[in-house]
Amino acid sequence: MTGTPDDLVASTMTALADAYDQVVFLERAVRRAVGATHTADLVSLVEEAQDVMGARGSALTVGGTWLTRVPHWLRAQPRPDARTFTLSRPTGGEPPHLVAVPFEHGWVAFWGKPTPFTAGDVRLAETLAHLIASTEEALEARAERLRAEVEAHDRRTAAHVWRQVIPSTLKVPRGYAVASTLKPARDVGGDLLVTQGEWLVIADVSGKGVPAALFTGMLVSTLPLAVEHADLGAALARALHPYLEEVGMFTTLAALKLCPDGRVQYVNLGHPPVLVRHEDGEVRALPAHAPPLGTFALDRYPVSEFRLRPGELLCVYTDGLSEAERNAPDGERELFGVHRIEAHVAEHTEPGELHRVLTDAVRAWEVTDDFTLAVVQYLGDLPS
Amino acid sequence: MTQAVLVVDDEPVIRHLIEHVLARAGCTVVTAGDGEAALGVLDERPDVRLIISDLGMPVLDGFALLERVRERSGPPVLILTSRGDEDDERRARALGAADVITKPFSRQDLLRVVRPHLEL
Repeated sequence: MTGTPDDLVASTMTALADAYDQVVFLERAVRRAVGATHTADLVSLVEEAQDVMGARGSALTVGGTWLTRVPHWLRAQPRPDARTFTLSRPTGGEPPHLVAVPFEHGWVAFWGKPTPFTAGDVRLAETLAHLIASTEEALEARAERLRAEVEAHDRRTAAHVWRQVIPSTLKVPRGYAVASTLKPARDVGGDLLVTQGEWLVIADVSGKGVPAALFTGMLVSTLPLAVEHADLGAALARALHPYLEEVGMFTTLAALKLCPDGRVQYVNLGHPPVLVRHEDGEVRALPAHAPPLGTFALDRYPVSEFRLRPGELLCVYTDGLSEAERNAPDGERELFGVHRIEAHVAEHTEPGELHRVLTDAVRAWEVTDDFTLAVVQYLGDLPS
Repeated sequence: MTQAVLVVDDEPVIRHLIEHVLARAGCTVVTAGDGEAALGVLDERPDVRLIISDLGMPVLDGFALLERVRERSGPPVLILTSRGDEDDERRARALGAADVITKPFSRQDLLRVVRPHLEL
C-alpha cells in the first residue's frame, strides 16, 4: 500500500466500513434466511450481497437449476471445486474477477467488481453459501414436514369418511347368524363388509386413503338401488366402472343374497372364493365368475344360486386372511392360503367358534392388509 | 459548498466510520465525543445542517442534547439507537428527533436516512 498517512487512514476506514457493511448484511441475512419460505427467497440475499461487495453481477444455482439470470459464459462453467476461481476475460465479456463458492446442492457466484475481490468479499460469499445451503436444507425438511402433514390430513379425512360409510354393526338378514370382523391395516381401510336388505356384501377396494374411502362411500350409497336389479353386478358396473376406470382403481366384490328360506344368490367379481360348509362337513369353494369391478365391464354378470340347510355355514373373507404371510421352515415365504381356511371351516359347525379359530390361527402370521372375515350360518326359516 | 454534519458518539470507531462514509458522500463532517462537546461545536459552527447523535454518552447524553438543540431551534437531529430498544426510539421521536437509525446499520442504511436532510 502506498500513499500518505491520510490515504492509509482513508483506506483503513473504507475497509472497516466494508467489513461493517458485511457484518450488518450477514446479521440480517441470517434472520431472513430463517424466515425464508421458498428457495427463491435466497435470490434476493444473493443480489444484496452483490451490492455489498460492489459487484456487477451474481448468480445462484441450486439442485442444477439457475435461480437467477446467468450469462452464457458462466452457464458454461462446471460447478467449482475450489472456493474461488478466476476466468479468463471473454471477448467483450465481464472483467476477470470472479468469486464462486460451491455448496452441497449448488453454487453462488459474484463477478464484475472493478477491483479484485477482497478477502472480506470471499468470506462473505463463503458465509452466504453456507447460509444458503443450510436454508435450502431447512426448506427441504419443512417441505417434507408439510407433505407428511398433508398425508396425515388425508388419512384423517379418509378415516372420517370411512367411519361414516361403514356401519359399526351388521344388520343380519332374518334367519341367519353372523360372526364378523373388519380390521383395517391402517386407520382407514379398503375393505368393506355391509348388509343391504337381504344382501351381504364384502369388497376389497384397491388403494388406500381418501380415494379408496370415497369409492367405498360411493359403493355403499349405490347398493340400495343396485340390489333392486336382477343383475346386481351389471347395476354396480354401470354405476361405478367409469369412475374406477378414470381413477385407475378396481375392487373385488362378493355379494350374497341370503333369503329366509335358505336360498342364496351369489355374485363374485374377482373376489377370493366364498366357502360353503355343508351338513356333512364337505366344504365347497365358490370361485369368482366375473372380473373385478373397474377392470373389464361386462354387459351381464352371472348370478349363481344354491340352497343352505339349517346349520350350514358360509365363510367370506378378503385377501388380508388368505394372503397373510410367514417364513416357512425352508426359508421361503408362504401364504395362509384358501386351503387352510377350508380346513378350519370343515372342522367347525358354529359360526362364532369358526370365527374365533380363524382369527386365532392367523395371529401367527403377518397380516399386512386389511383383514375382513364373516362367518354366516343359516338358522332356518324363522317366523318374522 | 459542502454541507456540514455533526457526528456525536463516544465510540471513536463508530464516530470515525460515520465521518468517513459521509465525507465520501460529499459532506463536511465535524465530530464530538459527548453532548456537551457537541453544543460547543454548534456554537462555533453555525453551518452545521444536520446532527447525528448516539444516545448513551457521558457528560450529556443524546436525549439531553436533543432537548437542548430543539430549545435553540437547531438543525435536525438523527438519533442512533440499538435494535429492539423501542422505548428509546419512542422517546427520541417524542423529543423531536428527525429520524432514527437503528444499529447495526450499513452505509446504505445511513445514507438513506441522511439524504432527505441534505442535498446529496
